[in-house]
Amino acid sequence: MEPLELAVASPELQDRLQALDVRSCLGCGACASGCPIPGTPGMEGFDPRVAVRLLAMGREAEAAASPFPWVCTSCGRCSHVCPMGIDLTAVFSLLRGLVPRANVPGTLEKGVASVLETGNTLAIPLEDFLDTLSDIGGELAEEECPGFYVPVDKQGADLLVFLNSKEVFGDFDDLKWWWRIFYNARENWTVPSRNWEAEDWGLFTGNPDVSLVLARRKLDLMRSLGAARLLIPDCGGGSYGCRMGLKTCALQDPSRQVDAVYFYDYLLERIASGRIRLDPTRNAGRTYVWHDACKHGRELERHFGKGYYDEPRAILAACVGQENVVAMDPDRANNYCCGAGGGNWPMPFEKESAAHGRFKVAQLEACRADVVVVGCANCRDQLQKRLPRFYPGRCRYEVKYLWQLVAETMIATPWSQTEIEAAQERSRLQQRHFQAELDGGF
Amino acid sequence: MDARDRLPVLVAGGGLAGLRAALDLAVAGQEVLLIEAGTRLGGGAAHLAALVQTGQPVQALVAELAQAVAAHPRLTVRFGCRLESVTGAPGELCAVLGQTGEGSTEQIRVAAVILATGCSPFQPGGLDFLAYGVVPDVVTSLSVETMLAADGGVVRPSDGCPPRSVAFIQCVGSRMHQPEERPACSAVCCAVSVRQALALPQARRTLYAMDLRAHVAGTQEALNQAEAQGLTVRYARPHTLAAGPDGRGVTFRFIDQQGTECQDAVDMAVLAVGIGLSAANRAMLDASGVELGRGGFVATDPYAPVATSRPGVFVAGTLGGPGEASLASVQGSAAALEALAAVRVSPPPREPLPVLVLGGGAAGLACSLGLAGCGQRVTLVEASARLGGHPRKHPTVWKGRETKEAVAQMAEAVQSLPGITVMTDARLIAAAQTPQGWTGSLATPLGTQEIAFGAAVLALGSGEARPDEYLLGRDPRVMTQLEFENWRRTHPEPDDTPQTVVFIQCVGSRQRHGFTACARVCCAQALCAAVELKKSRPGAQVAVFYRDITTPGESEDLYTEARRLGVLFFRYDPERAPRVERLGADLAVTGEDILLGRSVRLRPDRLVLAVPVVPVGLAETAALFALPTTGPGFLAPVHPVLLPVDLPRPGLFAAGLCLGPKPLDESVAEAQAAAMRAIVYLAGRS
Ligand SMILES: Cc1cc2nc3c(=O)[nH]c(=O)nc-3n(C[C@H](O)[C@H](O)[C@H](O)COP(=O)(O)OP(=O)(O)OC[C@H]3O[C@@H](n4cnc5c(N)ncnc54)[C@H](O)[C@@H]3O)c2cc1C
Ligand code: SF4
Ligand code: SF4
Ligand code: SF4
Ligand code: SF4
Repeated sequence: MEPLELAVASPELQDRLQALDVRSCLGCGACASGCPIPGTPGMEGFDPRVAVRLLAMGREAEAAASPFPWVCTSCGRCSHVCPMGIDLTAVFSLLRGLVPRANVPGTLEKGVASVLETGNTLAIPLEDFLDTLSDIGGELAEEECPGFYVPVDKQGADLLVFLNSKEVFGDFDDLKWWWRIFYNARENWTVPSRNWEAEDWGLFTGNPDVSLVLARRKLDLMRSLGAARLLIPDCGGGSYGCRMGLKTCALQDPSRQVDAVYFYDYLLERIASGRIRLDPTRNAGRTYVWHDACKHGRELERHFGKGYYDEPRAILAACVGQENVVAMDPDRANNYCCGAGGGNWPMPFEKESAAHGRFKVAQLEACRADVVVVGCANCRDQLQKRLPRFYPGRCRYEVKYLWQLVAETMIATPWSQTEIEAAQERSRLQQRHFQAELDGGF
Repeated sequence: MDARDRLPVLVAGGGLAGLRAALDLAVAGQEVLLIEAGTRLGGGAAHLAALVQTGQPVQALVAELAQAVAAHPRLTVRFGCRLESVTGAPGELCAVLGQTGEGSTEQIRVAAVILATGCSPFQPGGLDFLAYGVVPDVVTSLSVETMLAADGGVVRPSDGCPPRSVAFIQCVGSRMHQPEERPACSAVCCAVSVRQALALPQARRTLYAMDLRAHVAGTQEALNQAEAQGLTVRYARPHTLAAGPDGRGVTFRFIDQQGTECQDAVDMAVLAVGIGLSAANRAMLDASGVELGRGGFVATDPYAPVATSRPGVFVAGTLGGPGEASLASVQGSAAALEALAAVRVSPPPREPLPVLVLGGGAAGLACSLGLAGCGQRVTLVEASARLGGHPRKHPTVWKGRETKEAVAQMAEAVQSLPGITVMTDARLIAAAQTPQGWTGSLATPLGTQEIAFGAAVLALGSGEARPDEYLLGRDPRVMTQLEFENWRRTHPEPDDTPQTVVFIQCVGSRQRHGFTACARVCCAQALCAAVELKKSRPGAQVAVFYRDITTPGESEDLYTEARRLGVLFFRYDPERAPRVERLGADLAVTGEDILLGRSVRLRPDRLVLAVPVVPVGLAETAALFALPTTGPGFLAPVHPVLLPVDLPRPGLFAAGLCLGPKPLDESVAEAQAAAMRAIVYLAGRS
């Protein structure tokens, strides 16, 4: 190959790359050594060091044209060890943003357009949304929670809750875990009728403007509904994007600071106060391991000063008993990504995402846990649905959400007849209200 | 006698730097109080298994020095005693001392203070990916050193067996900005790992480095030897260390420079831990109002390398920045000189004979000033027509100070002091030892002149090699570093700044045979120039082809700055050095971007070669005094680490480049050290 002529100096970097200090890169390769991309078939010649070098040399078009920015799971194992302290996940998210929007792979950009237009990535209309809540809520009320319904747009609730569109779209049963918790804890909660989605696909497409719009919507809802606290959602990208957005909004306008509670803290609070009571004997006889989602631990720690490592472990131990908990190696801040971070569950890089998961599979095999407990929907799907297909016979674990485990371990605290009737009455009023709205050609 | 005369000089820290400073001061007639926080003298040097400089153990020599200190009548040693703060004005400082085990503190008045409290090793537990404290066979370089020094042989912790394979992982707790800010290079850990690797010949050894810095004398030779025995150097950083089967050994993954995924499984992994100030000493410096530099060590000026921001308080050893033990010795003597000058109220008993300083460059000037500052008469002899040395021998700017200006200031001061006789255009042509000292003949424009001197400091400098490589001497655009500096001086305008400049490092240095050593200054010098170019013309294309960027200690800053300014760096393997040729009218440099896996070409307006500093005209003077020289022909000291500026003939000392390549601040420190050693010698004789 002809040598690359370096006739002119690399152009001045655009401000944001300059601010991220990419040129300080030493080329040491620590980042690459921790990254799942080297060794992933089809990704030869790409790793974070190469990407940073291209950016530092002003050859960002080359980096942006490669699959690298998308196959990168934003796991942050690279930045975790970078001696220069370069925030590589921020760099690569910026790199995603440099890709012409038409070249954003798969459904991501469509999802973004859809969330901006309709309020959720899957463009689920209000009527379908309300129907789902009422159907699934009704099922739950019948099965085990008499009087249960999903309070929508309830004014003055203690807790404003956002939902995962995957669950509203099809994984209905997964909605019920949280609902059972709210029911038994007698939570005064609500979900919004519009802009109810937890996820932040702005984060996935490297578009901070979108993240900001989504965070603003959440803040506006807090205000218009007069809710006391926002439950920071469970979805990895969602919780992280939500925090990013909340932080930026608060920076732009301090009056927009809202009271928010991360769902781990919420669960711990309720367990501590006795509003959730647990019976760990139900889970005896099996071993459990906690999977630290990158964006709940390492990346949260890097960007917000605190990673959630201890809280989920405390909840897990409360559910199953410490003696049944095992550990993965490495874990906490140095944990391996499941392989589906950064939008790699919905993205069309299945093989690559599965290859990233090779480390997780090996780790899980080595720790021999019967149940992997997770706090993120993408991790859950990756571990439960994708990895077993690509690593047949090696994924002998079951996957549970942490809140699923809480719901399963929770001792029911039945409602009194009066409570049930009052709730049913509120549910009827709510239905009538929305019926009128929908009939009104809303 | 003035009451202040009776106040002692306080030396804090009984490591190599503190011992040297204390002993020099005491022999020179000064009362000294040496306090040591621990229970024994010797500091870090007492734990070394061997010196990379000599390949020999050093403990006996350190013990000998400690004994001399303990035995000296003008020296009081207190153990278990920590310095907590120094305040007050020079000549009458107030030091707060704390005694270990007792809660109480004590205040004493002292005339001057030498801070030589050293550094502490980095605790790697906070770097979770290295699994120190989790995986049993991950150990630190210190524990390997202790095992080597104890003669018990090196064994791995998990089963007590000698390791059959060892991975050395460099830069642990150095050159890093997270999770802690520890930006400086710890300067000795590369040398230490190479030496330790050499001491484990039976094991398969791999050294994982960012840069293998061979600037400590003896390192490149040890590296060549170790590589011949099978040591592999890999430019890679392992990420997650895990225990091997049954919890024994260490496994990890790393990505090589080409981007290939690799695995290694070794019996033992050694973390080459860096050094930094202890929290206690940081608090001590804070309470004393002593400023720290950007690298987190006591800040000094290149032309006053042992003076701190507080007058009357001096620093020596690693507290002032990472460095090898020889530097601790040098700075110990230099700090003794500064302290002596600071406390002097009346001149010492007059030595009838002057000290001859040969060479009027930066080192010779600093040495003369140091001697005069202690009341010692000086005869300064310079072969050329004027003082200041060869202006081409210095980088334009060093550590933020304009070199030419600083040297000119020193020259002016030398000329204005009555105690210094300056003779230019003069060359020593004969020397002979007498019962009183030395006599010599000088060839001057006015004829031969006889002189007598009690001691002499050789500050003869050196020159640049001119290898026949890369079209040097065949194309006017190809220059050595000093030629380029000089050219820049005459073409300083932004418009004169070349559009494309390429630097090639290690030209004729670090060879397998011949000039084997690292020339120590050329990387920093290239980076100074590169930074200057980028600042004067941000659009300039500046590229550096290098083997290892060698910016030890706080000069790491320069490397970081150069990268941030957009200077391009390409590592090359000595087997595949960049190619320089003429393509039509263009000068073309073709090399490889190993990390991107493609070849690159630049067409520079200037190609600057990092040629080594080599002895020039030293043989003649060495012969006059019947002095031995080292392999490449530099003057050989009595001991490279313990007595690094003493020459093996009575009353003779040396400083600066004639002892080997070094940066300016080290030359100045050596000059001050040589001045102090001459004073000590004369005092000991009278
Ligand atoms: C593993 C290893 C191998 C090395 N190998 C080599 C080599 O081969 N060649 C080489 O040239 N260099 C080598 N070095 C470097 C060399 O050891 C140092 O440069 C040298 O020892 C520094 O001496 P120092 O006097 O500055 O500090 P230290 O030796 O650290 O001495 C400082 C002393 O001060 C005391 N102290 C601390 N705080 C206080 C206080 N507040 N008050 C009073 N006392 C205090 C300490 O107890 C200590 O005794 C090596 C270093 C290490 C770590
Ligand atoms: S974030 Fe994860 S996947 Fe992306 S480059 Fe870094 S280590 Fe690799
Ligand atoms: S770890 Fe940081 S400094 Fe090292 S190559 Fe990666 S980005 Fe560059
Ligand atoms: S000497 Fe410098 S480059 Fe070498 S291991 Fe130590 S800190 Fe790293
Ligand atoms: S260029 Fe000079 S300082 Fe740098 S590594 Fe080579 S010999 Fe050493």
